[in-house]
Amino acid sequence: MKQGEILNNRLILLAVVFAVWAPMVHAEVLYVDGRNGNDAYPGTKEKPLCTLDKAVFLVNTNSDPGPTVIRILPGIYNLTQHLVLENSRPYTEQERVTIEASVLPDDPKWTPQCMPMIFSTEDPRDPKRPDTYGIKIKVSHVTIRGLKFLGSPNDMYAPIERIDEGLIDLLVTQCLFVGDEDSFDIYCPVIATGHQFVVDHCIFHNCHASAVFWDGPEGVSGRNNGMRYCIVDGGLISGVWTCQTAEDFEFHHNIVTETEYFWMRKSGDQQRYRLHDCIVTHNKYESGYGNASGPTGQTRQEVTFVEKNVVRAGDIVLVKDKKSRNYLHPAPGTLGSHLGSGLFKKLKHTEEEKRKIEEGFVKVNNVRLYYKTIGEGGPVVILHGGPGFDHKHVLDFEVLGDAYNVIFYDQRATGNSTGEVNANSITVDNFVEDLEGLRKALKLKKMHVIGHSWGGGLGMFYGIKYPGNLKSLVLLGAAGSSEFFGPYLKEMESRTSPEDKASLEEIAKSEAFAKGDIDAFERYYKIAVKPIFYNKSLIDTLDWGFSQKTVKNQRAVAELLMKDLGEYDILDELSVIKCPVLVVHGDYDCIPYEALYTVHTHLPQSQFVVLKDAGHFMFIESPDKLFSTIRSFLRKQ
Amino acid sequence: MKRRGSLNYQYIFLVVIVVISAPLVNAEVLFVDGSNGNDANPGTKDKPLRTIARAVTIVNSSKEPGPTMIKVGPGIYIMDEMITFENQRSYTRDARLIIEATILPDDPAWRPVHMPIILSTVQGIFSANEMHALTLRVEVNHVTIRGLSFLGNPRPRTWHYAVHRVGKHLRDLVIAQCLFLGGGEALRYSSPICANGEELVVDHCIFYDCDIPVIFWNAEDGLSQGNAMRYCIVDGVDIAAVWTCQTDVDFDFHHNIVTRSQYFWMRAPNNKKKYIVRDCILTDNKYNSGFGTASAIYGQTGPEVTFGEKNVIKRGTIQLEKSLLTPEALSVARPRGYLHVVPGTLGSDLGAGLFKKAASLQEQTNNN
Repeated sequence: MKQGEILNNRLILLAVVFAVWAPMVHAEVLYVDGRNGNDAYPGTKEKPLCTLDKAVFLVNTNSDPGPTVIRILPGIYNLTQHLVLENSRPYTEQERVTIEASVLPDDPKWTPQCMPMIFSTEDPRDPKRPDTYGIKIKVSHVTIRGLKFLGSPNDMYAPIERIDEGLIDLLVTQCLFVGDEDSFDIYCPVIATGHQFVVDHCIFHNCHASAVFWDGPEGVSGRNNGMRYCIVDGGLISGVWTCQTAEDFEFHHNIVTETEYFWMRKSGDQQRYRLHDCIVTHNKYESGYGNASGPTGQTRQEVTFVEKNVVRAGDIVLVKDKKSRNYLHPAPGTLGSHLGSGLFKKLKHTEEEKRKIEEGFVKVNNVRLYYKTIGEGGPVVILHGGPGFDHKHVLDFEVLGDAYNVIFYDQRATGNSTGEVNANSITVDNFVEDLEGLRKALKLKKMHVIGHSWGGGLGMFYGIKYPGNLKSLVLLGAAGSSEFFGPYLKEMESRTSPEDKASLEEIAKSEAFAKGDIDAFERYYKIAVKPIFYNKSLIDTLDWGFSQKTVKNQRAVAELLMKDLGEYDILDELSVIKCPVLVVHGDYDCIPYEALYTVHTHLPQSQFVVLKDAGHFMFIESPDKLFSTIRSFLRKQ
Repeated sequence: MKRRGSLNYQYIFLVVIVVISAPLVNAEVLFVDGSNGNDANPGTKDKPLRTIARAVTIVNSSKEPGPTMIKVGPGIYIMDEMITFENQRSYTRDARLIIEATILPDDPAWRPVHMPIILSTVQGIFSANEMHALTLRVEVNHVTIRGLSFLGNPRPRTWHYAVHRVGKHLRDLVIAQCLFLGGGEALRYSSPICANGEELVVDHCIFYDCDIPVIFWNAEDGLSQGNAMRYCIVDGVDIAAVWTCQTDVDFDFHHNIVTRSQYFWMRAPNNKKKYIVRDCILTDNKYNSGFGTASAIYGQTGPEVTFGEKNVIKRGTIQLEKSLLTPEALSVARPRGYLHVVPGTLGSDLGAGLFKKAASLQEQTNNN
């Protein structure tokens, strides 16, 4: 018996490891995109399905062995009828069914908005179903990962349910469950019978009975179950509920707070569970008995726990800002923030260890330039636009850090860099020399340079002066002649709505703006860039992250530099740039197509790419296409 | 000016009477049943439509004069796109456009489960820093919305309006016996009702866990008359229970309960009108009166703002009936008095809440 347990434990470990790392090369993968998908499509990445119903139908009607992955894009998924995952395919611990979000919490690009939101509006009046479900699971070896479950206007709603004899191995991980008693209730977020039911890195906010390890057949205890790294807050009934669950139940690194009962168990069950490394505070009752109808009262001395390292006092403060990566996690620096509970499996430092990050200052040309480098490989220097912005909003390029040494820096007088703001300091020539100084200071020989907007202009000026130092050059939304400024401004003007003009004026006149309020400044530029976003809903994902210095100096820097640029035309001089160049235009950009096309035609070795349905900030609007284009361009050099 | 004010008041009184007792014999009536209906059906009682959107399309495409009645059966209605009442039909105060539940709260058989539940997943439109999502836009005169339950919108960072009227020239919108239920982190609820124009009457409604229950916004000539809010229960407001902009002093505010809210009353910064508040219970609110605009809350008002108060209770605790766990049925039950004041406790005899009959009894007792 004991050996069997150990074996099973190993298997669980294996299962988890596989779920995270298995390369799933031959997997059947179905993509679901509630916004752009279509159920007549095959479900490939390019042609995704629209509904979860269809994906589950396709999985159920197939008879091949696994693995199977249903990958869900961000969006809203309303289940008007519950899903039933039911088939006789020979899944195994390694070859699993995985239902997961297309972007997972440990991805550096992840934000709470990446989580597909699933809720139910199943008809409440069907007398056959007083209780409703989201996903009913009738197969073994299932992983559900990275999804956000909301409730249902119905009562007694359970988003994930596995109740059947003989089923084993269900892993629910990195999921967020958010309920509301009065409007959008979740009764049991996850409820399952049987063995190997593991709830891992989940957050339960305002649900009734958070994780329920339900009764199997009478007398058979559920083995190899676990709950760990979870946060339960505001549970209306319980933080965890066990029934016949064997004492090998793993319960650790959980936070349970503001909940009615911390631990609910089946009447008569007296297992002595072991809990370690938990924070259990501000719950009304510690331990209670309950049955299908709810709690029946507190346990007495017949029930005890084995505890190790359990914190019983202190306040848990959760982040409520939905924009924050830490939404519904303990606020950094407060009780529980170091426990590792919550949606993230890799703590941040391990992520940073994996990709070497370095930052500092180099003194060049009488200024101190702030720089930050990510990853190892050939050097790729990123030039931000503005003029006068800083490197923060182009940090999206750090995805290249898995294969390159990506170098960001703040151009002089903005971000964290120093520099005087006057006509002697803010000149194109100084900006070119700053980049050259940075190159020497960081001891780079030849470098790839990627310039966005004005950064692309800077890249061209640099390339004309120092063509030998470039390995390649990528120009995104940049012009080689001031003759395109007129049409650009005219187009911007015509695409800005009167309301937005009024808002811009209002902000520009406000006291906060004059005082250098970062919020006001960022708000201003979010409205200002609206005309050059094809998909306006993505503007919010543009994270300016301006520094106080940027806010103070940006407008003066831009003005001085534009004055220094004056009327210019460097198209004919581009012929000296002999290295390969990639020129990219977003077809919704206000900068005219010709501005980019003329740059392309004047370069000896250039590739021209137009991104469809993308504006000026193509790294936000079309990241997949842009970065795959850049990667294949860089690989060739 | 004064005369016009009192005239409007009479009209409103008339409207309510008519709405309650008009027999509507010749009305165009469309039935909607989210579970058993079909949008290819004609919309009769036997062959109901499935979606409210379809009913609105039919109503908008007709040129007949009113009245029009849309009757919505119990069930859950997902609004994934904005619906707009917009037509040239000549509705009048008596021949109105009415959208209501098939079973209304004063029916003895009524339970909260009979309220059609309207859940919005409308994608917001970008404005400055957040998304604004409008669910039901009412751009015609003489409209009544009655007996529906509106939930919030699950989309992140979306400012959600359930009923919105943009036209500043419009008048006469009655929202009665409706429940507006927010849901904390799950279904954030920003502005249930927001209307430009005149004669917005919010009557016998419950607002639970919303940001700003009702915004009485601007009118064409800069002065909005004939507005009212009465017999409402407002609990747990994150910003302000009532918001007046160009609302005139004839604003009829009485028999309301406002509790556990941030501000009781917010107004536009240039608005120093002295509104009358009578027969109300205002307890456990953080602030009484404040100034604010669409973009910012300025803070509390000073001595320049006063209210004419009569019979206003400012102490005590309001207790509302909540849902119950019932062991035998394995279900969560919402009693008839769900989110109403617990009988016998402070406010239970005020007549506020979804039931009109209770209120009229209350008034009779008062008159005697």
